[in-house]
Amino acid sequence: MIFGVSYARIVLCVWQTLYMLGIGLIIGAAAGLPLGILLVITRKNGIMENRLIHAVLSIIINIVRSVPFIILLVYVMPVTKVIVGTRVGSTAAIVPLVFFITPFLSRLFESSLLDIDGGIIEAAQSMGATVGQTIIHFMLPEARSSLVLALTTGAVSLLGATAMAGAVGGGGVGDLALTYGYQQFNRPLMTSTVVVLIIFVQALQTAGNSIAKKLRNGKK
Amino acid sequence: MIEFRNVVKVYNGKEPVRALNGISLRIPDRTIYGIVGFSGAGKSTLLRMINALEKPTSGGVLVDGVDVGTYSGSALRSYRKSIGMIFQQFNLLESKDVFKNVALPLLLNKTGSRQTETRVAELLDFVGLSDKRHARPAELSGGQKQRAGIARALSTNPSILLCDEATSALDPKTTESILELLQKVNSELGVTIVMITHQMEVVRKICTNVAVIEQGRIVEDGTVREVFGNPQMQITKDFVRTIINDSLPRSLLDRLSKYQFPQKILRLRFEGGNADDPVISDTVKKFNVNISILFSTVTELQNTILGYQTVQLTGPADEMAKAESYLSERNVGIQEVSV
Repeated sequence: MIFGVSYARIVLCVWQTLYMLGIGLIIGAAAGLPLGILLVITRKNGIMENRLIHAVLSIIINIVRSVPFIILLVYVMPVTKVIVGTRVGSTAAIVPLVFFITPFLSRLFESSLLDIDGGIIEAAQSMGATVGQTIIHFMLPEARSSLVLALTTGAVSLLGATAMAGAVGGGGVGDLALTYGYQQFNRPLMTSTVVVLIIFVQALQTAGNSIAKKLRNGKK
Repeated sequence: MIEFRNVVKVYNGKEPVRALNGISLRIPDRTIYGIVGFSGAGKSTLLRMINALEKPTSGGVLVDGVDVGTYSGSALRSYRKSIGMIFQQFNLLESKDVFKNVALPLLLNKTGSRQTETRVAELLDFVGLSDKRHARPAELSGGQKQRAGIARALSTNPSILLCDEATSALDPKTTESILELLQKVNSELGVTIVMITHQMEVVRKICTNVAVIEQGRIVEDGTVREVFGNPQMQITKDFVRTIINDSLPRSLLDRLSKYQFPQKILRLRFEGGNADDPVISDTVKKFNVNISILFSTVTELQNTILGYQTVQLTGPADEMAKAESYLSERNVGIQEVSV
């Protein structure tokens, strides 16, 4: 027992947080990267300029990002029910988490990709690279370090969101703090969950920074 | 042969900008063609039309008789592969080492790894960068980066190399070595080189032909000897003056203008064969005149000598006239300078 909560319960909560964070981030990045790339290449003077696609995509991203996460959580419940089969639990919580993190990551990736020197893209065009080749051989390698930092920022935001996912029975460290800590006036427990979250954030940021640094300098 | 036919480029914006205003120009094969002009003159746009990175608003650019504006899709991409391009800021990928940067165009062509290996080794040897194959761009000096850029541009055996201010970010000594390399590219590989620059020194050193561009127009063009030896337009004179300075100091002009006896201030041009003839000495011996040399300069263009002397000619009027015609007979270019 730690602060009146069983050890097994705490391990379960940490595991649930890591589960929601990990799966949410993988799906979010897998969807966010293509969207970020699409935003960059379809913009004005992009390598596949298309004002319509760009405008539509941009507006959809803005709309989803306008909805506060706590509202998004309950708003997408019908979708969750269709996809997962249930509205509660850690797996169900991943659906709103993906809706939350994907547009955020696509904006972060977009800005990483926009930072690439225009000369690199021009060089790619002068070599007769196709759009796909330009993305794979020029844009992604040049932006990789910055993309990792963007992913790190996204992961930290997603961690915050998983804490709220307790509201739909997602479980996790945040849920532990709310149900056992807040509702039962267990101050020491609440404090220790905050400490755990701080450790998570520090670990994520440190790992992200060091990978980004390695990509920038060492590896060839 | 690259041929610009009455090319106009207008950039639409709040106020449309006419970047190119009816350019007609022929760039023969195997030349090193310099295009000079101040920034904003339209040089970059002009250069980028050759590999269709820019499209003319009207007019056409013909390369080997084909209007490049007609290419699109995969034809355009394979056309671009036949033209190399190097840049002022090198535009190497920081995330890849020298080998991978040079191999990029081959990778885009899906060239096999063994063939890529041999080709890149050959190119690195050609540009003198074999010992840096695993260095990343951040570990290279400016000159080495440009060598890598040149190797990359040559990897697909292009017939034309476009140089966008390729030496403008380099110090004079490095510039010299890069120019020597470009000359080697031209003479050994037979590549036509089109270079835009604002450095007249670059044109003097390696170009065979030059065009001067101002406000989107070609104001003067020809061989470097013609244009440098006898610049017509003010802007060309200004450019030439940056390397062949022949303007007299103000104080000297003031003194000359107060001279009380008959005099003529002449600018004499010696070219090629007569540059080392004792023409002035002969003139003084033959006629009753005095020649005092005010200013003298000599420069080398395309392996021939070009010399200028600004002299003060004094003596009786008829003798001065005889001396002048004698100088012309000896193939000295004469231009009177007013004081």
